[in-house]
Amino acid sequence: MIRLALLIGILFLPLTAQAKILDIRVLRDTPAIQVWLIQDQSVPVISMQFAFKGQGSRNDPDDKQGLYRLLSNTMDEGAGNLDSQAFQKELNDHGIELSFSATRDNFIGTVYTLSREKERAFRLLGLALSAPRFDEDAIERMRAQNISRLRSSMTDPEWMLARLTNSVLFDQHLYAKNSGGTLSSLPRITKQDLKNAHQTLLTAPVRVAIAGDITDDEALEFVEKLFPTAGTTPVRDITHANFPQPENILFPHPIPQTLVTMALPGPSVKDPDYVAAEVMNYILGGGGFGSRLMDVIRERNGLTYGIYSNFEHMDGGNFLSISSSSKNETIGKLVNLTKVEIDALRQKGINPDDLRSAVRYLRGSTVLNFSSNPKLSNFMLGLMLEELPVDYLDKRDAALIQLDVEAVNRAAEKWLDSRKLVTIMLGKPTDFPVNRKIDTLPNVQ
Amino acid sequence: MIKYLSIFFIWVFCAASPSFAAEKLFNTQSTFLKNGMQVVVIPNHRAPIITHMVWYKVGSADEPQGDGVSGEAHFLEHLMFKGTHRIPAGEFSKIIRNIGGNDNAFTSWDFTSYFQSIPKEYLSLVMALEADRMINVSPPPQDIASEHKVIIEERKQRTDNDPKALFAEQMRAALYNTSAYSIPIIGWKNEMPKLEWRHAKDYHDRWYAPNNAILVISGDVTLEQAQPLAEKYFGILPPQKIPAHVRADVPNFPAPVTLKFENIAVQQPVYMRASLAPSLVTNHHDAYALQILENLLSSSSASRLYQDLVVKDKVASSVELSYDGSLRGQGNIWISALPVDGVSLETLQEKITATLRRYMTSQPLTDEEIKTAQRRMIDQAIFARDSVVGPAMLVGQGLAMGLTLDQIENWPRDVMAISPDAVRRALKDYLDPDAENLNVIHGFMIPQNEEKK
Repeated sequence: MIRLALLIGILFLPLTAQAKILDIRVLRDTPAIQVWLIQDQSVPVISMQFAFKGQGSRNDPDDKQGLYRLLSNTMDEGAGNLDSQAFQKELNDHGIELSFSATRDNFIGTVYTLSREKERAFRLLGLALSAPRFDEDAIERMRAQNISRLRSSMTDPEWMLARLTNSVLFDQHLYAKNSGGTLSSLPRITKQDLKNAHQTLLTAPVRVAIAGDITDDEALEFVEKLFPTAGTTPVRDITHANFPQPENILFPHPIPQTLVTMALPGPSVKDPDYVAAEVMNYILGGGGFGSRLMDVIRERNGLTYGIYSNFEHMDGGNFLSISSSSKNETIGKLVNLTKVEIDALRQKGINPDDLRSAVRYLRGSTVLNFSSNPKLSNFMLGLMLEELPVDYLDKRDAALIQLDVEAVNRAAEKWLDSRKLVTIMLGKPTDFPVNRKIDTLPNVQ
Repeated sequence: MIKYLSIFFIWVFCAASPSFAAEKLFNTQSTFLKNGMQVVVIPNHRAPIITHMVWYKVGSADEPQGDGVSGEAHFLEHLMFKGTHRIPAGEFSKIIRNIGGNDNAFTSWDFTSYFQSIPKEYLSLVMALEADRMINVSPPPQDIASEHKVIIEERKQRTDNDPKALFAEQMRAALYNTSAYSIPIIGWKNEMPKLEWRHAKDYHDRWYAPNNAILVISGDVTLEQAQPLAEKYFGILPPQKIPAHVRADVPNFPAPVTLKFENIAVQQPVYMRASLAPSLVTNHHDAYALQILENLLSSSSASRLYQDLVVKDKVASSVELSYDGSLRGQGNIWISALPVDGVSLETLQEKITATLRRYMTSQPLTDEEIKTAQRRMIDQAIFARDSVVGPAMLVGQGLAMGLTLDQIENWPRDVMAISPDAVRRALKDYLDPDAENLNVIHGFMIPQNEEKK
């Protein structure tokens, strides 16, 4: 009834190189401030995302972990003559989404507004940036919420494993700290700490990505008012984390299913052979269904609901991490099969079909990410923070077309060494030997 | 958004644009195939991409009751990726990846949805694949066996590993008591091992047919382009008789129910309150009033509940009210709150009760507050259009649970038409702490202290 011939005919539609994947306009391009814009008038909204470079949680003092998180939570709790309620009401009543967050490396702000409310939205953002009130009352509320969130997370196995993984991979490094703060550090953060961190924030280099219903001139006018002191102090360098020695580590926890993260060193986005590594990762476990790990571990053996590999990029380190889970009785089998696949990819390499389908996916799916203004602004900000060029996607596309099997095999040879694997588990595994047990989650109490 | 309209109408929409309330939600285009399958297109031409979804008007609440097995709706959803007579097991997703697309599926109590996001050139391919598996699903035995293990791992990951999830599951079971909504979609832990292919197959044979399905396509396409393809691939599938959906209303029980879960794994005390409410399908008027109420009481930290309980009374560190009216049968309202240090869950419960009582007496909701909430909701509808997947999700879900396309499209107009009195009445009818007909379930999650271990 369904004509297969047609299916196969369609499968080989050629994918041609496009003229320009994204039409990004560079409005400012200095070390102090970069502004990128994609105009789109299909919906009357504007999304802006920006980052103060290097102003993330890595700057938290050891005894005041959570400082930058708390700063991000309190900056939208009242500014200028508007107290917390008045400020939030002004946002909510006019459909303006405005929030701040801190990653390990950067301090992020986002605004999402109807274009008819743009004046108000950027005025409120300006107030939050230049004149946050840090009222005692608001600080206490945000402190209490962070402590509650931390206590709730302490029963969430995924969070617990992420916390543990962070401490193991970044032992002795700035990143080992808990960005969300600890039960003892959060109460130590004072109003003065927040004010000091805020002052430094405004002088850092800033990266601004805007998408939606706004002109070049309007965008520039808003940006210039918002960031008058940006880039007056440079970003402090961060040392690269040393990848730890291979080990099998367990946090014993009485749950029926063990969670696991397996980590290896990974490539930088600026690595000249990055696209080859991208293809390698896609074939190994980045592609979800159809990847080798998903095929073997889930589809053929039913050992897990999901297994994924992905690259993690930070200013101070790059990793390849593989995450999955399986019942306590079969987690060892899962880890062993994963190692077999890692070794097979490294030793036997890929075949031309693997390459063709990976390239087809990585090229074809790029545009799926551009279906809304927040996705566009988020993507542009990511490029800027990785210091990638404005035509990065076009260059990547060209590199994907040129890519050969040997380049991917070289990437596998370089990155997929299972002898270096650090395996971190949380649960009660019965079929896997561990070298080291950790009984207390670091940087929580 | 309005590019597909005849040129003669464009000026009308431009002129009308300041008054958003009069606009349709998404400006969909729709038709029915001869076999009864509904086709809805949501044109959006900003990128050369399409989200293609097939929604079945059936979910876990339609599974046979009382047979000691649960989760076949969700098991079937997984097995739909395990091959047909023509497409081998596991190939479906690989074909989608090969064209640069992503695919997935999900099951709810009232509906099941399969979707692909793809470059637009491949619309006919995904239609062919979906039409094929609608009638030809036939997984090999070894794949059924491995997928059975996968869904048990899925349950462990989502629920069994997490005390909060286990408690939420029990709260829901208590709330929906005699209704099939009491059963988790994935199935009960002790009933999932008994699932076999025949359970999924029976369910498939009973419910999967074109006249019980909706095709929703969002993105760079028009109905004019999609309809011939839909006729070609889905239009040839035979319709069949579809049984009625039975949704039992929960009877009114006389004794109040409180669940207390004291557990060593719990670190943060939590208070939860669940109660029954109408849904968009059972009573759309009151459902709109409840959506307004939800927005007014709990949409930001400037909202009433947060201001009263977190800012003024300082008994909670957070509080949230959520209303779920997206069900074919009875809907539900949840309030959850975390106490600040030194405040007991009982005190927090009393404060929430007292606060709700005040909203019905000394601090009534004002007309101004209600109108502001309505305007906020209309603005949110504009943001909803800034997406390709989002509108397809909203339209598909609404149609699959039993709303008409007109009801969905006229949501902005109908929400604006709700009077302030109707909102105040909804508060009284569905959130009055002294009402005896709402089957309220109170839940306490309590950290077990070390000495008691």
